[in-house]
Amino acid sequence: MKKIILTFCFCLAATALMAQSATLPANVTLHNLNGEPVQASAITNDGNPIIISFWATWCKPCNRELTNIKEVYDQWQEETGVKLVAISIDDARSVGRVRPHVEGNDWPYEVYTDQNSDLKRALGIVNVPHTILLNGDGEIVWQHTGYQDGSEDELYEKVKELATKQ
Amino acid sequence: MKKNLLSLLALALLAAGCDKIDPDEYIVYDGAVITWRQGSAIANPQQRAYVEKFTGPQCHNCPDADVTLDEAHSLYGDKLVLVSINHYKGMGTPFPGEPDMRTDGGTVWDHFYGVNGIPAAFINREKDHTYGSAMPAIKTDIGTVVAQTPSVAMEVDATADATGSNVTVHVNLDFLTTIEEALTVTVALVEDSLRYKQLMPDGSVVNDYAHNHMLRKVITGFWGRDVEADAVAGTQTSGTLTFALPADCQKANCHIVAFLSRKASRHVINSASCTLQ
Amino acid sequence: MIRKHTILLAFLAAAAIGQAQGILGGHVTGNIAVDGQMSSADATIGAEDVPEKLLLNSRADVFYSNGGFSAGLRFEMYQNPLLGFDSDWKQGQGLANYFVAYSTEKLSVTAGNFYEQFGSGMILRSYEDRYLGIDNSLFGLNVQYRPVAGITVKALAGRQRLYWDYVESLVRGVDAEVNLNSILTPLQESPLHITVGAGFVSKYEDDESIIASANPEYRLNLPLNVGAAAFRLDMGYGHWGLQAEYARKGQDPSVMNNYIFREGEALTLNLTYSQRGFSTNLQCKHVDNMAFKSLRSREGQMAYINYIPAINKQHTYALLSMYPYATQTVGENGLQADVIYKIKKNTLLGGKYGTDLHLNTSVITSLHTDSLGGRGTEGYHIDWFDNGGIYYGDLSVEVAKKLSPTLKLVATYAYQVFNPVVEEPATTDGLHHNNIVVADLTWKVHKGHSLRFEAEWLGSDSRYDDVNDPRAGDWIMGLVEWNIGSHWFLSASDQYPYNDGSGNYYNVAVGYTHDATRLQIAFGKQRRGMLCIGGVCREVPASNGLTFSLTTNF
Repeated sequence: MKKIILTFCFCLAATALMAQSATLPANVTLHNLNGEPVQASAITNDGNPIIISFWATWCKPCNRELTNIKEVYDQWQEETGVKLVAISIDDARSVGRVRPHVEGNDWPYEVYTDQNSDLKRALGIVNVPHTILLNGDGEIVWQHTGYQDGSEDELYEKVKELATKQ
Repeated sequence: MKKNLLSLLALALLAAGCDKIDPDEYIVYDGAVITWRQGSAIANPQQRAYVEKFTGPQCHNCPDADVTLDEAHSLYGDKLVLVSINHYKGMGTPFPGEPDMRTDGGTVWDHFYGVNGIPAAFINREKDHTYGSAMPAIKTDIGTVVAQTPSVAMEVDATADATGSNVTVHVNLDFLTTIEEALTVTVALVEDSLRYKQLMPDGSVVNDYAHNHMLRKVITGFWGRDVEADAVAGTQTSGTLTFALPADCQKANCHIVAFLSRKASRHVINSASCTLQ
Repeated sequence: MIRKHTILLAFLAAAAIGQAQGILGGHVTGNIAVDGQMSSADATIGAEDVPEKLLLNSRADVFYSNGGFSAGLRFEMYQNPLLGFDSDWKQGQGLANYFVAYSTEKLSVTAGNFYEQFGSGMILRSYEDRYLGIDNSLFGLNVQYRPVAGITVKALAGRQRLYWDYVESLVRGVDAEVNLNSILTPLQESPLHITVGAGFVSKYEDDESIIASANPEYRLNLPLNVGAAAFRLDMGYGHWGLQAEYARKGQDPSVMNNYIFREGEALTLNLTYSQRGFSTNLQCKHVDNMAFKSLRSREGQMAYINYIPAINKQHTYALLSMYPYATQTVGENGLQADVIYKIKKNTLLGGKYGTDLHLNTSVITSLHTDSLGGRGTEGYHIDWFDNGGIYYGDLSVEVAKKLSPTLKLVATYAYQVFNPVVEEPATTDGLHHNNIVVADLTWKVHKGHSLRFEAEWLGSDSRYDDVNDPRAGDWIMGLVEWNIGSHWFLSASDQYPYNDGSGNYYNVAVGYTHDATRLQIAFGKQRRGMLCIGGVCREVPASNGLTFSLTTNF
């Protein structure tokens, strides 16, 4: 038992040492709202930062986050060129409601579905809402889990830091 | 190339990935074992007609079929070997509170024909030729069958031991022509004078209607036991099996029915019946 | 789960060597999640003492990727499992999941544990849900081939994980998905989007002796290979969308269908219309004998190869989800309709800030079946033009309205009809009828500080003495949540059955979030009931005490 845990910790430490910034994985297929397959690695924004927001139709805080960001999204885009990509983890039960939900709520985001949580799992995400910030090179520079009113301000601070670096 | 490999794999999976089992083989029952040894010649070979009749206590046309088959019996005597089976659903189900005389073997045979309405009867398991309602034509057709020269002569006898509960059955086969095909022998227990409710053609219900030739149990597996000897003209083989008489069967009313069939098509070649001694 | 050690060491050694030689760049991601629980006896709610004082479910994922190569492993530890987890989880720890994968533009190969789904999962879905204690990952080989843009072909073979072991049965499958717009030139610029797909899955399981009837001499002639196929269509045109999937399963006598030989069938249809500020969808579903398991004699929620979701809306308010619906894979018909409508600002109903309306209704019934006998028969046939009894029905109206720049109200009314047979097939209780009202008010006190209040009421005709069910009766609930900056939150809530029931389910919680790390500690009482996610449920026993949860990503 102890041996396993020790080995495991060692392993964690070793891997952490050699860590560099991760990008979106190459081999995960998402679907757009027309049901067409899109590779996760194809998500780009002309060298500008990207916010990846994992959400689900049934997730209240996710909906609050995406609704609240919508109110300031135009301003964010103008100031920093950032793009928000919303990845729905709705499975077969509710994936059919994703497109009506997005369009009915008039969300201006690029939306993909991740029905079996392949991308969520590949990024090691535990719960939604979960927000990932990619820099212009597609590297993960910051992550945030959960949403409380006001979390978006912190997110935007990080986006601005990235934008000024470039 | 990879694509071809994948489509090949897909085809292989589609072909092999799904077992299809016929309704008459859903249930497996090996049943009593038949021990085979040298048989004896049969004098006065007889071609009999084996008739399976599907009936039901809540079927108002069924008593008419019973009348027709009773008439056939008086015409042909033991040349008619009759087994009566309660259909597994619908009108074959018992009236509330009545004994359920359906059997697993009967249900499996029912599925072999795909019986869709009762009464229904079949001669020698020719599943494409059904008799329905009062089935008047069956009398002449039985006559045609029993007038034929048999290719195999068949006899059966059954003896109960002192306790009356263990029964030994002998089946004797005398091959008169050579049959180059796998053959099976099926042995079943039928009982007469089972009295329970029956719906009549006029809509009334007779409480103590006598149901005769009712299938009680298929003693061998549902599809019989293989005949070990080759069916060569001029040779004989004899099979023996023992079984325990079910406690709810009246020995005096019981008959043993045995029939020889082609293993592949299940067509019956010849049959025989006897009382319990 | 033996030999895991060796694999772990090999993985580590490979990493270390790679590092030493300077050829290993790449990156590492992962997470750690720990859930703990302490509970002490409370007779009023039926909570029992936890003799080991502290229960822990923990896990850590580590993923490594470098170019097209990736690998991952997961350590899981249940010391001992949280209350309500299947006793088969037992006390245990080890490497529950590991894989290596290589991926190029056209080809991806994964060896080891993998998760996969064909279409909507009606014939194959391996997934995990750690809250439900479900992980049916396949251990084997998974190949994805994308010859040209728009075509994906998948082929896989493996054995399914069951708790700490793998089942003996084999699962094999192929699936192809084609986006017609990508491969057909005339469709390339078309507003009509069409994607079609088809999959086939086959399970091989060794024979076993299943008695066919009262007579023990009769046993079933079991199909050892059980196949299932599905066809699907996804279409979009302008504001419209249509998704359809049809699945069929070969003969598969199992404990789930009482060992009948009837073939299985399922159909789902989803029609959507959406435009700015208004959208609707209509869904219907027919499921008949579609429990597809890797172990034919395994009851319960485990060892499923496929996934048939519930069709009704997944509610998140506590009293709205008190009577959750669990999919009846044996057979059900379902219908669901959903409407989202935004009333414009500065109108009579919209007010100064506009109003959001969300309507949803669903009804799920059993199939109308005529019995053809018990095990070892065809089972039944169904009447396509008739339904059986109601399993579940609900109607909900949600109104969200900003009252002022700092106040937002979400009010919900719902009516539910619930048949307890979906949880306890033996029950003879009639339908329960519930009325539920929820008011959810958020007040932004000032920047970064907000208060949220929830008041909920549930009126039900299920009385406390008619079932052994702590839900019965009428309930009220209140909740206060205080968000402090984006890091801290405090909440306090109480659920109380105010006429017939007993128990008082209070809960206080505090949480701290920093970037991708979150710690939450709660103290209170938990009602015995069903925890359901996606129509799959697990029973949670009553508990009384402390729970905590720590998650972090790296």
